Amino acid sequence: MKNGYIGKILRVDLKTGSIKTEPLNQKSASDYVGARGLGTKYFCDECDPKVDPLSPENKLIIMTGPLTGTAATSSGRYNAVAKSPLTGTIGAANSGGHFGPELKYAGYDGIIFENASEKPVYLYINDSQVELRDASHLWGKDVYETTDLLNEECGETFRIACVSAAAEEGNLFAGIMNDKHRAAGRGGIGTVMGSKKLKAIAVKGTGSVEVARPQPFFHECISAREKLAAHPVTGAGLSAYGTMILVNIVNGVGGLPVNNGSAGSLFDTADSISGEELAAKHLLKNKGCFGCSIGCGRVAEIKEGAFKSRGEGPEYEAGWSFGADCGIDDLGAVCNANFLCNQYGIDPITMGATIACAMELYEKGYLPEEDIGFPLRFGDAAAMVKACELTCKMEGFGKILGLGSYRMAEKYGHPELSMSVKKQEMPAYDGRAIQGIGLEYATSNRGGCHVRGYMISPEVLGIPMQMDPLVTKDKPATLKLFQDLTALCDATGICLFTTFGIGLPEIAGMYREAVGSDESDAEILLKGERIWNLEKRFNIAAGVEKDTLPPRLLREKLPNGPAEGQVNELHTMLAEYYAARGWDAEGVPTEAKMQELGMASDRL
Amino acid sequence: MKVKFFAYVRDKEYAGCREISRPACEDLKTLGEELSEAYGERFRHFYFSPDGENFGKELIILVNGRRAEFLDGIHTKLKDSDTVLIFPVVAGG
Repeated sequence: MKNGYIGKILRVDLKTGSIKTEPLNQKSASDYVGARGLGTKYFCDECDPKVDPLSPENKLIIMTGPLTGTAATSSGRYNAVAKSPLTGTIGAANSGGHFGPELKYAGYDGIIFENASEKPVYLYINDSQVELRDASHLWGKDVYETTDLLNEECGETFRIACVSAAAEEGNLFAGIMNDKHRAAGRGGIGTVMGSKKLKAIAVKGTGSVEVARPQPFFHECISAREKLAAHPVTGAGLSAYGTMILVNIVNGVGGLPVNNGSAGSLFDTADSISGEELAAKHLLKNKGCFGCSIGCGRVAEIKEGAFKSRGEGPEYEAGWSFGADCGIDDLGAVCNANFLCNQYGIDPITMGATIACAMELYEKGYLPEEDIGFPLRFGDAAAMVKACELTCKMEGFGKILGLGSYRMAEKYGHPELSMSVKKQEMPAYDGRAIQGIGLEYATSNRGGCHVRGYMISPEVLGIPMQMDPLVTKDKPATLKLFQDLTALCDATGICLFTTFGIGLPEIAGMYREAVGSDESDAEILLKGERIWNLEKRFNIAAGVEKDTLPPRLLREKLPNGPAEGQVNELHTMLAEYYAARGWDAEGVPTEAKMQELGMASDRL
Repeated sequence: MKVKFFAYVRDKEYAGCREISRPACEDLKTLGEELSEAYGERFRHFYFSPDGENFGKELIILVNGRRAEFLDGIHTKLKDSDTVLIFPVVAGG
């Protein structure tokens, strides 16, 4: 096809071994764009919201966007969609690297996996040659081993997405790892893949992606790239320091949670785990994904000592989760734990935050040392790395940590000490010091998450405008806009980080020329809102709990810093947010809103 | 008063250090002028807008954890117990 899409979907029944291709549903593609949006649309059309996430009936959908693999900037993205075993919400996880573009070059916009295999298998895709192959020899292997073995077996040029033993063993926050180091990381999407005995997907393609209006499309792409190159963040800052550059500024505004948030959000030694420190002492080089001019990825090495290790990252979120959140300022330990998470394919945000929760449970006497097998105190770097490794390997107490913080804390009688929303751990910003991000955590359609509506951008960084983090005014309407734009960006197949330097006009411009649409920017943004509403309707039908925050954020006043004495004022923001969304007072999308979005006749 | 520098502002072309302790000056404008005297023109262009009357567009400046824009901007008064943090525009996530 000549509209950014390939026009074909692979449907793989893992129980029968049937592999079919079918035409892409163009109406759904037009309404929900691609990747996160289109994957969710297919999922909602085909799956019961009440499905057990780890049953064969849960489907796993891999979906690219119309810009994936094109000349559009940073267009290496795909989404993996299934019902999340961690949260019970719709689970869509986004990853970069090169896997998504390769799938399109092989001739497919996406893959729908149905049912489960009896024996471990992997899906081999070499253009039109598609086979389910035995993966018994790969079962139990980590991400690096699996990738290397498949590259030996299939060829060096194949792109590999796989899960590790943690996913096979039912760790509830395992991701799908592609190109070794890139992760569809959150919500246990890899756990779903492991439950289907699907070890990996190996893909190689020799085709290309054609767009509707090539000349105007390239003009839009070049213009967007020039803007990214000229912007101080996307043109210089992110490549020099990576995302960990945020540690000091978030700490500076008193928003970096310390010791599971129990000790406020000012970390005295934050500079020791900062992007500056990583760049000065441990950075080997930076690295970019497909077609990306930003290059935020880190290749780092801890050359000596107890935490000697090498890998990619860490990102800011892992820097915090294994650092300040565990009371640890040893960057070597932080890197080591992060590299382990990559090797074993688990989400470092949930991992670090779950260890931090265990540390609080232990220090308060709720979690007996004999259950853990060793003391697990805040600030103990060696114990933190050991706990991480046990979870990666699902050994000993790692099996409990592998449930995530909510289920673990509930088991020990104190679920209120889990810093999670809808059972997914909140990331590295305190919603008491930064009000709008608290509203984002509460309303995110996949539980505690920052990348569904990144309010840190206006509230801390001043991009694209500046908002006071301590006040609630105008936050609900702004968050709605950010959430809708993010859904659109994710659905096109380009990286969210581009939005530090470009916005709706550029994204809509590239989309319009690629697919051959004459829709206005506003009409294209409406697709993002449609995606958001579909996700919400799925969650309501699935019976997901209401939008709220952990009691700590609502009742425990911050003990120090510029936001001293503050809690998150969710109750004042939530009603305004629902009104801005056109939902009723309970947060249910209204019939009028469904009519407006053209969703009234949809199954969900 | 403490003044702390971050990211490339630590480089020798700018402040060349992580942190200084110094007596308070009148306000953030005076601070920018005194630091520019010490660190040179590159720092001045970073700290100030071209007319010298406002902050540069790539500067983020916090006084005791609050962005200057939410205080009195470039005219925010300073005292000895204050901590001033100086960043270039950064982002991540």
